[in-house]
Order: sequence, then structure tokens, then C-alpha cells
Amino acid sequence: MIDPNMAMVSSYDYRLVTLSVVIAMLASYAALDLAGRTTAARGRVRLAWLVGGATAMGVGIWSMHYIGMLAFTLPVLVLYDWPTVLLSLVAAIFAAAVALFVVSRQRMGWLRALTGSAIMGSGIATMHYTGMAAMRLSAMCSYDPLLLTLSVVLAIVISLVALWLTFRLREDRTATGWWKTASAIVMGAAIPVMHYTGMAAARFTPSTLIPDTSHAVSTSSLGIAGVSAVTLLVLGVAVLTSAVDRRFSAQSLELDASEQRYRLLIEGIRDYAIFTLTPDGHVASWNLGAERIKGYRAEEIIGRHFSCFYAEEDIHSGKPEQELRAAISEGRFEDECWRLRKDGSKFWANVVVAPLRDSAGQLRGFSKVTRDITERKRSEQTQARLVAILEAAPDFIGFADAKNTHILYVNRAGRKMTGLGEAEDVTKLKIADVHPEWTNQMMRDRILPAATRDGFWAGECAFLHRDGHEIPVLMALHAHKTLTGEVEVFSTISRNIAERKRMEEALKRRTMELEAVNKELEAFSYSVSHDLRAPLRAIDGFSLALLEDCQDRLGQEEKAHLQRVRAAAARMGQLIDDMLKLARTARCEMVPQRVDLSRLAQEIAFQLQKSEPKRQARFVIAPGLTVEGDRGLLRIVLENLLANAWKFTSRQPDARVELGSRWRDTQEVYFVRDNGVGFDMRYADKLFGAFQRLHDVSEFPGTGVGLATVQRIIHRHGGQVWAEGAVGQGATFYFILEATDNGRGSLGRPA
Amino acid sequence: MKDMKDKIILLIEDNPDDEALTLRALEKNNIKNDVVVVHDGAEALDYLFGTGSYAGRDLTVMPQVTLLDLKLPKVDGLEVLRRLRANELTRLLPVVILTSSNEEQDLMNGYGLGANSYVRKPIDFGQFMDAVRQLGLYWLILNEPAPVPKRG
Repeated sequence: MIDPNMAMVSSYDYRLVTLSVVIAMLASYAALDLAGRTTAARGRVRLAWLVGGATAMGVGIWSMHYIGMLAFTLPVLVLYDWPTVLLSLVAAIFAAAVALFVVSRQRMGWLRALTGSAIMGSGIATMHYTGMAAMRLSAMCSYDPLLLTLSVVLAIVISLVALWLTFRLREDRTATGWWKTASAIVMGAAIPVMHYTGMAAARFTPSTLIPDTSHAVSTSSLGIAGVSAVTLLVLGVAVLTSAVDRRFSAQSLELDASEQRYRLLIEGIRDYAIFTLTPDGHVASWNLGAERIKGYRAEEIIGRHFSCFYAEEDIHSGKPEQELRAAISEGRFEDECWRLRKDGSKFWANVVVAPLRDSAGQLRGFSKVTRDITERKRSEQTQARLVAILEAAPDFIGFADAKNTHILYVNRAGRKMTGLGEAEDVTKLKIADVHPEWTNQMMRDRILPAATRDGFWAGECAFLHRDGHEIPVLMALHAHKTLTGEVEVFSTISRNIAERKRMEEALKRRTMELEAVNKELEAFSYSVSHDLRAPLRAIDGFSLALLEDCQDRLGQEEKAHLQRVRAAAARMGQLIDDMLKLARTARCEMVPQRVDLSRLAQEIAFQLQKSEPKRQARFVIAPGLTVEGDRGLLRIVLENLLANAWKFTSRQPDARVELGSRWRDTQEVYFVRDNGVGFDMRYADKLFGAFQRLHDVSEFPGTGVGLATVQRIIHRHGGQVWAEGAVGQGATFYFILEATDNGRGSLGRPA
Repeated sequence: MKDMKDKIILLIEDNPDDEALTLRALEKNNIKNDVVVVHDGAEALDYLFGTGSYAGRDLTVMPQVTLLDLKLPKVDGLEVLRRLRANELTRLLPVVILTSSNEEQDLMNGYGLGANSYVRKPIDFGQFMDAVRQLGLYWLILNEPAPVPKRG
């Protein structure tokens, strides 16, 4: 029996211990480095980095452990069971993988850090004690529970520190950072501490039991060298790969960033539809402008064929494919045409297609830049229409540069007016070239300064024809100003007023002639008023003188003759007075106002009754007949009509005189009706002629001027007067004022 | 009050028929005042201002009423009236326009220039006589004229 309390004496080969520490440090450095790469990588690359890194780290940790084991020497032969050794290596790699996975995540909370370090620490402890279990020797191995526990705790604490350090340092791109190196040294020193604590926990007592050495292998110096070399190699390759990858990755990150900037730039452009097509014409990318202009969102259009942007007939005629072929053969294709939006509406597009080729010249697709120029197209059309209107206008329309007064445009009417050729280049002319000298002076001194000041001038001016004759015009001149208020262009619309001028001249001449005639007439009527009456007065006066002075010498017959002379003189005087009255109604000024015809008629009827109180006549006057007209003249109208009615009903026992109105269409017709002697309609047209009478003076007194006066006044009001009647059945006189229905002049214009 | 004989009537009338008829009407109406007859505007002014053929006339003697026709040779009636009214001596003399016309412009101008009255001569001589009678009654008897200013 072997005394179990008699422990074996063990010793360490310190050279190997040192080697193990160095390997631990290198493994730590590799771990820090690989964590950075794993974090930077994505997808499958990340998995590769995770597996590769874990392997390198695991091998490093394991080999530190293994070399540490070899540094431990016992007085007995120690063999190792290699399947168990391999198992310990797997445990190491698993622990490393867990560590890398945890630190390469975006974030590391306390819980994750603790869980990760617990798993990693446990893995390392498992690796260590599995490795111990691989020992095949003639001794019993027992552990001091305190130190064993301590070693496991140390493994977990060291893992926690390692995870924390690597997480902090993983983004550090500077490979030779001091922090990284220091961390590697700390970690590298800490891992062996755990190992050697674990070793210290082990107690070996001699045993007589023959160990199972069926899979056992021996260790040798060569084995140590081999393990060290392989480990160093693996770690070296790992660190080197990491360094190389870091450099490329930095570049590719740079490239990524720049690509992203361009992508954002293009995606953000709103005014241009910028998108790419695959070589066979399917949409591959889509920017904001494309979405705005064409109406498709990126996700609904990417992958669809670009022919959906074309009208049906364009697709049939193969236009989409032709454009791509043209782009390939010419290197660029540009077109303006109608395109379809998603909602089916059309827009006028400017399209540029260019092929996209890779560095080898292989076609990778197409870029398309589309602009919506519908507005421009519309404004071009509008402009063309406006020009057409200007060209068709009958007035001179043109504009000129305000600075150098060079003409920029003159329309067809303007060219014709000034004798310029249809195709002549007007821009060679100046404003002064199309005006006579006197208007040029006016332009300089008054018109252009006024237009510059007020923005507008209007007045009479003139153009000069090539052949030297002047064309009088009514000119409207505009000053077109820039935003800063500077006059840029003068434009004019000028109407040829030659014809109007001529008519004005003719009218002026006629007016003067008329005025002269009127003056003569006035003088005539003044003279009539003064001179024609004086002889009558003499005739009457001396007739009476004769009658008085020679009363005794004159016989009855002579006296009767003289009475006839006197009556004739009186009648002549009446005629002159009535004639003057008629003339006056034509000459006097009219003052239009509201006139109550009913009231006027009442007053006149009252006067007539008063003049012959014995007569029995009935006046029927409709109330509220108001018209627009001259009160004095309308009074004369009613006086004449009512006095006539009064006169011609004098033999009627139940005389009746009526004033009323009735409507004819939209026109109110006034009438004066009586039940007197009436008249023969055959002579109706003679009623209103001056000095025309249908009755004998002895029958009914009168001069035949009254109705002529009535007609003159009604005509001056723009109205009409007419009569109806029959012999013995009374008469009706109708009148309207302002005959709007037949387009007669308005009130106040003499008929 | 002056004697009726001192109350001179100035008749400015170019038509001899009218002159004769007016004088007859005055006579028939028993108006015995002195009547000075002048036949045109110039003569009328000479009489009133003591010039021309009337030079040296006693200008303290002024007509009680002047009967003025409008249509006159040389200087017409309205001009006579205007000059009369412009002169301090004759400014306040009563002037009756006695004429054939009743043209509105004559009425307006006559009153505008300061006529005291406007009478249209009727054709009927009976009516004319009546008018003259009323004028005499009013201007020669009823009306109190402004005092004639002392000359100088």
C-alpha cells in the first residue's frame, strides 16, 4: 500500500513556465485583435472570423496550459491520454468562441458580461481540469478544495476582465496601441495565474495502480517545440490576417462611406428622376425625384421592366428597346417625349440614357436621368400662342431694350405700319428709326422719363413710315422693370388713329359750320323778334289812328276794312310769336330731371278751366305718371296737347279729355285723348308740320305751330309722337320719351 | 316836387312810326311832359352827357324817365344803358326798356345792365296805349327818383 499522505515531490521547469506565460500574452493580444475584426465584419465573414479567431485563441490558451503542464515535473513517468487532451482543446476553443461572440456584439450589458465570463471561465477551468485528467501516471491525483475553488473563481474573474478590456479596445484600429499591448500583458499574465493556482490545488500521491495507457502518448522536447511552434504559427497567422484585413477593411469602409454619400445624394435629388436599369431593362435603383416625377415608390418599381414608363403605342413600336440600343451604340441617348406616370397621366420628359460599364468594359446596366419639363413645354406653347396673337393684332405692338433703345420685336401690324419688311431684322433698328423727329424729341423729353417714373405712359404720338409719311397713333407705353427696379424693356401698343383724326377733323369742321349756321339762325330769329313786329305795330297803330281821327269821314265798309287790316296784323303778330317759340324749343338748353306729368296736367287743366269757366269738360288724369326730361319743355308739350283737346271738344256737350299711359313691350306710351271733332287719318302726317292746319281758323283758332313744337320737343328727348283719330270720333296723341327700342339717341341729344 | 313840365321824358327811338305812335299814345293819355326824342344811341349819349350837338346843355336837367329801344343805329340800346350806368351822373337814372322783342337774352342783358323796367311793345295799339298810360302814371307820378347829383 502506498501511503496516501506521502505526496510526491514536484518541480517546475521555469523555462517552460516562461514560455507558457509568453504564449498566454500572445494569445491575449491575438484575442484583442480578433475581437475588433469580428466586430467589424458582417454575415458569413463574421462567422469565419468568429470560428478562426476562436480556434487561434483556443489553441493559444490550450497550448499555454499544455506547456505549463509540461513544465511540471513529477518523479514518475507521466503519459497523456490524447483523446482527453483533444477534449481539453475543444473546451478551450469553445471558451474562446463564447468570449469572441460576447465582445463582438454591439452592446455588452452587465448581465451579458457576467454570463459570458462565467461560461468562458468555466470553459477554461474545464479545459484545465480535463487536461489534468488526461495525465497517465502511477500516482493518485487529489485536489485541495480551497485552491480548486479559487482557481475557478480566478478563471471567471480573469475572463470578466478580459471581456471588458477586449470590448473596450475592439474598435481601436491602431494595431500598436499601447492600451492593447498593456491589456494583452495583463491578460497574458493573469491566465497562467489561474493555471498555476489550479496546479497548486493538485496533490499527487504514489499509487500502485497501473494507469490505462492504451491511448497514452509520451511528451518530449520535440513535442514541446512542436506545440509551441504550431501555436505561435497559428497566432501569428491570425494576427497577420487580422492586420491585413484591417487595412483592407479600412479602405472598404472608406469606400462604403463615400458610396453611401453618393447614394444619399442621388436618392435625395427631387427634381430629376435618376435611376438605373439592369442590362435587360429592369429597374435596379430609384431616387426620390423618380418617385416624385413618376409616382412609383422604390419598392413597387424596382425589379419591373422600364417599359411601363412608356405609352402603349411607344411600347408597340419598340421605343424602349431602341433607346437602350441607341445608348449602347452612341454611348448616350437623349430625347424629349411624352412619358407615363403611375396614375396614367402624361408628362413631357427630357430623358438621358447612358450605359453603365465596369472596368472590363462589360455592360452592367443603364443610368436614366428624366426631367419633367411639362411646365417648360407648356410655357413654350403659351409663348408661341401669345406671339401668334401679337402677330394677328391690328395694332402696332413692339418692345425695345431700355438701355440702348434697340428694337427687340415688332409685330406684323407694326411692320406694315412703318413699312418694314416681313422678314426684316428689326433688331438692327432703334426706337428713333421708326418715329418722326418731333416725336423722338417728345420720347426723350417726356414719354420715356414719364414711363420710367410711373411705369406707364399713354397719349398721342406718331410713327414714321419708310416712305416718310407719319401715322398718328394712340400710344400706350410700359416700362418693364427688373426686381431691382431698373427699367429693362419698353413695350408699346399703339393704335393707328389716322382715320379717327380725319373724322375728328371733319366733325370739327362740321361743328364749326353748324355753329356758324346756328349763329345766323339766332341772329335771324333775333331780328324777326325785333324787326318783323314793328311794321305790324305801325299797321295796327295807324289803322286805329285813322279809325279814331276820321271817324266821321269813314263809312261802315271802310271801317270794316280797317278792322280786317288790324285783325290781320294781330294774327301776323301771333304767328311770329309762335314761330319764335318753336325756334326757342329747338335752341334752349335741356335740364333732365324727374317730371311728374300727372301733376303738370292737373295744373294746365286748372288753367284751362279758369280761362273758360262756363265750359263743362271732364279731365281724367292718371296719377303718378313720372318721366325723365326737361320740365319746361314737357310743360309746353302738355300745354299744347291739352289745349288742343280742350279746343277741339268745345262743341261737345260732355267733353272729356284724358291723360294716361299704357305699355308697349318695355316702353311706357303716354297719351292725351279727347272725344272732340277728331281728324281724318289721311292727313295724319300733316298734323305735326309747322303752320299745317286741318281746320278753318274761323272754326277753331290757331297758328298750326303747336304740334310742330310738341314734335320738336319729343324728338329732342329722343322720343316719338304720333296721333290716331277719326272725323267726329275724337283724337288720341301718343308719345314716348327716349325711344330705346329703335335705338334712338338718349335723353338730351337734339333730334 | 317839380312841375310836370320839368319832368322830361327821354324817348330813344329810331323808328319814326314807333316815335309817332308813342307820342300819340302819350298825348292820348294826357301826358303833357316835355319829350326829348333822340334817334340813335350816340345822340342819346350826347344828350345825357352834354356832348356833341348837346354840348353846353344844363346837365342838372335830367329825364324823369328814359324810354330806351334796344335795336338802335350806331350805339345799340344795351350799350347806351351800360355807358349810362358807368357814369356817375347818370348811374341812377330810371331807364325803361321799351322794345319789340321778348327774347330771353334781351331780358337778361337788360336787367343785368341795370334797367329799371322792361316793357314789350304790344302790336295792338289799344294795348300799347294802355301800357304807355301805366308807365306815365308810375314813373312820372308815383315814382320818386334819386336826386340829380350836382356837377363838380
